[in-house]
Amino acid sequence: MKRFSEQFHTKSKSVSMSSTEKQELRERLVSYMEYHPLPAERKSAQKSSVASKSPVLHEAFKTVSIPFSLLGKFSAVAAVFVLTLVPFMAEQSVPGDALYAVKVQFNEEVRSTLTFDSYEKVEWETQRVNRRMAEARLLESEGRLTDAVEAEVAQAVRMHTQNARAEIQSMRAVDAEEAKIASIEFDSNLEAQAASLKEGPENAALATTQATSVGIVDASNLIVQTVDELRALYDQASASTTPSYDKLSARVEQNTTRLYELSEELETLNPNTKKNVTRRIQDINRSVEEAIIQAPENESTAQDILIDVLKRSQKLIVFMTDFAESGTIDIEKLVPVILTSDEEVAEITAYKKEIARKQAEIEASLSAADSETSSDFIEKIEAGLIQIEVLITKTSESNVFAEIKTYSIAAIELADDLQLVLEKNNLPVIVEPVVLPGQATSTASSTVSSSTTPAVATTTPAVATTSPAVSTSTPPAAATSTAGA
Amino acid sequence: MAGKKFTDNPEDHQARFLEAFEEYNDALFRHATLRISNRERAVDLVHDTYTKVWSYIRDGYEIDTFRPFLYKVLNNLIIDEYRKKKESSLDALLEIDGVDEGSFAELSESTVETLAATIDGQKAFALLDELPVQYKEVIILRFVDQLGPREISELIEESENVISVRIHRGLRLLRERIEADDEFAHEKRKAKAKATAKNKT
Repeated sequence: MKRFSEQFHTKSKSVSMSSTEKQELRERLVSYMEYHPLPAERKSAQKSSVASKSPVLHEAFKTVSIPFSLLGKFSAVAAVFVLTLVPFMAEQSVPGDALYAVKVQFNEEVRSTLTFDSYEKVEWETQRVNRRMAEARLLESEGRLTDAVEAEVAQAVRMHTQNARAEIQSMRAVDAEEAKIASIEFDSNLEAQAASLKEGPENAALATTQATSVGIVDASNLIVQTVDELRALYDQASASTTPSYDKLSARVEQNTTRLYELSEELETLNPNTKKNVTRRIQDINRSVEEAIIQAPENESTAQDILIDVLKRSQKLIVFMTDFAESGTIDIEKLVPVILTSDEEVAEITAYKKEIARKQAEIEASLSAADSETSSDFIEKIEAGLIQIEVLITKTSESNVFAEIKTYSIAAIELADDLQLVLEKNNLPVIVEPVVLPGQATSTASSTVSSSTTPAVATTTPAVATTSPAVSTSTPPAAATSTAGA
Repeated sequence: MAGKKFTDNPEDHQARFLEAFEEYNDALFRHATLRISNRERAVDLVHDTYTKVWSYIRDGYEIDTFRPFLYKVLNNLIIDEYRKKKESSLDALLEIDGVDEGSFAELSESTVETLAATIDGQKAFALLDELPVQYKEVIILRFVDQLGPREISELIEESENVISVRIHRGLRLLRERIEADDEFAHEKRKAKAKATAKNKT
């Protein structure tokens, strides 16, 4: 056996590769190994150990391998990143940001899909409108609101409004009253937003340089137009039904609760805004109490009051969520103060005092006129005084506060104009120490003083029409009066 | 011999693999050449064997001992090679799997030794190609690669008995061929001698 084995084995040794064959085979194999290297994590581990052995690497190029297998292992982490962190970061984005699409196309669409109730859907569309507007305002404040972005925002607002309206339409088939409440709320919201836009550019114009402010005013015009247009359409659509007293009071209850929550959140706000907001909430509460008193006998009045309360509370909510901190919008324009009957009386008395004082002043000036003063001029002043008298009688005839206020303010305006005219003609103006009407009412002091500004603006044309003699005969005076307003 | 696990010392995989190449490439080449009787093809098969093993390492397997693994891969490649060359004969080859248990004499290693002792190794080697494939296979594994019967049985997935029987029969066939050749040569010589004797007279 040994002999055979040995012989056989020795003989078999004759079969072998030549050294060139062997070399060739080795080269083939090594090149195969280079083309098919070990997987990434092995390779990287290998590399690091090599690096630790020889700090200087003489490599013409370096392979950087992407650790796909690691990515696979940490796919859970990656999923968390994509599904939670990205949407979370996207929430802060504005048009033009990389993540804005995620915010609008993913986050908001997901929330849309997750709301099932029609009423909630309308609320969500309302919120989306608010978000678009907030974005537009933010961009505007940074001077980044371009035409393209503006068109985009206007388009989005239009779309969300249409969505909300379609939803309200479908609600109407099921529950007309609920639909009406939803539409009131949506409308109030749009109104608040429109007010904010009209307000915004003015502030910006004051704050920024001329060139940019012009750009901004132009830019937000399209959005303003869109919102106005949408509101007009909306007013036509929602006229018919009046929701029942119970439903209204339930909704008002919800809104007031929300208001209290918000006002607690706003604790840190500047005291003035806080005071204003508290005042509006008090107004709302008073109106609600009135509605409750009215309800048993006169339900339709109660309903009207509640609808008004609903609108005011909705606007106030928008103000508190969107504008309270930035202070870009005057609360008085959005939700005017509703005065208590005591306050009304106090204010009317203040107006009366003011008018009487001014009348006395003008008469005093007139009596000081000498022969040099033309008789024409004196006649005109006297005509003006008669106009004031007419207005005073009107105020005493009326018992609606708003009317009295309008007439009183018109009378004061007229008196101011007359005094200006007197001044122009070098007549001495006698000014007595003044007690302003606003200071008479303690609670409404700040708000009334601000409220006179828009009121003046609206009553100026009334002055022009009621006293044609003054405005036509003395053009410079009229010009200054409007400028002063 | 190989288990799927991610190794802790990946840096020497390459080195170990190349070591295994240096150590076994000759033996594998010899085996392949004897089995398929084609030098160039044998080189290719050895190359393919190593690339297959390399892929296996790349897939994350660790190879503890290379030799049996390399033989296994090469053996499979050779079977494929046969299949390509002549299908019918391979079918026949696979069909004769049911080799009978063999006699007691055939199963004993000592009888293999005594049998082998009667054979001229060099002559036997020259006649290797004339053996049927399944005998040639085990004879090469046993006497060229010097694997034990158990190793061979693991490699070609037959029982040790079958291996022993095949070796025994293969050797017997070889001896018969050698004897036949010897006889033929002897006859030839005789005839030649006769012829020369006739010529002399």
